[in-house]
Amino acid sequence: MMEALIIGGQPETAALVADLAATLPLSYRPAASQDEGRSAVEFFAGDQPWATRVAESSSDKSWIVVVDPGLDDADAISSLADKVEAGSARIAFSESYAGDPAVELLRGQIAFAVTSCKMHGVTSGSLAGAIFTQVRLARAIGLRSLAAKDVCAVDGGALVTFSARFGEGDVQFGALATISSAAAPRHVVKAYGAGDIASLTLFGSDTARPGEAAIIDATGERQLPTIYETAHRALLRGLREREPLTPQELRDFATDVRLVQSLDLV
Amino acid sequence: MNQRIGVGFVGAGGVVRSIHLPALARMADDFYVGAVWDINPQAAETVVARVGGRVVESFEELLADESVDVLVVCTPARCHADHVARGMRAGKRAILCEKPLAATIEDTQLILEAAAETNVPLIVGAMHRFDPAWTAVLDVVAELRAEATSVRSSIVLPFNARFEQWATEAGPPAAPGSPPEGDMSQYLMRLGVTELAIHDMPLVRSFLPEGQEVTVTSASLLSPFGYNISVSAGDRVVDLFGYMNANWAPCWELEAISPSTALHVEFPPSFVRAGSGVSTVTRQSSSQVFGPAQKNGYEKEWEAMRDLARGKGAAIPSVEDVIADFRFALTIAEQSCALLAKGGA
Repeated sequence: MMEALIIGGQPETAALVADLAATLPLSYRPAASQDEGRSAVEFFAGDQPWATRVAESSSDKSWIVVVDPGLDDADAISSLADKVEAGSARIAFSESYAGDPAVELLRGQIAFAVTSCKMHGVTSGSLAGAIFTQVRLARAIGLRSLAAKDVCAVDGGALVTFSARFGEGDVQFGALATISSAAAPRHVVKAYGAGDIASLTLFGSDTARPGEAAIIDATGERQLPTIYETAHRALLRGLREREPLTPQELRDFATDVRLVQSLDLV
Repeated sequence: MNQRIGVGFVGAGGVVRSIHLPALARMADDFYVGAVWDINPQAAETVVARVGGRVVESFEELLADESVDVLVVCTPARCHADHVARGMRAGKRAILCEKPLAATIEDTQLILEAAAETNVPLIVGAMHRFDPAWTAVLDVVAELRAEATSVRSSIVLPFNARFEQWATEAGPPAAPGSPPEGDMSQYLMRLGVTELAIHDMPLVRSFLPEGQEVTVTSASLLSPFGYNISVSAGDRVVDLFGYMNANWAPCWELEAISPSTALHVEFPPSFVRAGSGVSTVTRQSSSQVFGPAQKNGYEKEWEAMRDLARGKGAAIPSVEDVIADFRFALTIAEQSCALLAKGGA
């Protein structure tokens, strides 16, 4: 029988760790007072300056899990990539939206050339954070080389148009975010091809509602299986078999951060 | 018992056959087709063979026909203003003009003057404005007009042919016209805005403060057909997306969100009889749903025509309002074309 790994981390992540460990009791247990220095997994909150905190704390012994890494100093993230390259940190990002298991499931089913992509989301946080979430989602479904073409922003709403690539083709990508308390936070993704649509609705980790994914073509619509698991649980459950983030993945993250910071959204 | 109302059609193309005739067939106690004129007499004869009435040889003859109480203008947009204005001056009881209202802003002056002279009511065939799902939430729309932050119109549809076939046996499609002169991308953009986005332009404008200037900040075309337009309107952002491709699933959405309220409306596709749209108003994570109702916007449009023709009055937008709707759409089309000419955004 495998030994349960000890999860430690910042006080801000304690509730999440307790919640996750409770549903993975054979694999993990939260660190107790006598476990100091023995954690195999360290959870870090992803609010700024998470990159600096992680760089200061990382060690070869533990996994570092950053929960919802947000906008931060891009140079600090690049430095972290250098540190990973030097082989001194094993880092994983647990992103509520881009890491939702429905995203990976959908991505594996996108067998058509995406030519345009639209996202819209409601947030209780910042516009920059919401657009960043959508940029990360774009990367997660396979869009590359994002470049901002237009920013249309007002107090409480932003509509950003990007150019991007998917495979060998160009993609127009539009990202709309609105700050509102009307509905629970969510992001909706639609990726369009000449005869196909990939559809994804994600509710994040604030509710227990699972993501909804579907592929639509000329013959019908196929709803992908519902996965009743948050991004955080899915990541932790697979952590033992998972590869840590590569330096390139961290640099890609820094690129996404720089892109969104360049939009000057509040 | 009320006397039936005679309808005169100017133009007898696909929209008449697929949309208006089926709607009128459900209101046979109220309407009959009196006369039809089309520049192509065969098209007019096809309509008359289906529903009765007579083919007339000129627009003047249609206007003079005493069986024509109300006029329906289904000609190309460049003819709309002239036909509407002359219909008003001929003393018709009400006019229904297919969208767009005109081809240019200058054209609308004709309509404005004729309306002022005659007081004949005018309905523009923006059916979603009459959809029960929309009219059920007008109080929320008014609230969002003051407070909305973002407005999103997304019209994703398969190509029209299958919907037309579901709506009616329309016969063989019209021969394709000659390719337009000038810049094809600008032609397609204008087509996208004035033929597809136009359906919801009055609704989108309802979420903006009266007289709000708009600026298109980004506009691009989509292949095989579509548009992607960003609009800045004071303290609002407006996302206009329309796309037609070979997928099966129509998804016609309109959404406006304020800091405290979200309104989402989903409409059925054009042509088919599928009831009304469905509106969902969400506040504090609780939703109230309106619709679907059995009647769609087309039928409600015709009910308004009936009431107007019988002098009962109906809740319709003023002529100034429908002209402002048209100006709004045209402004977005022209600014989008101008951006495309500069290389898009």
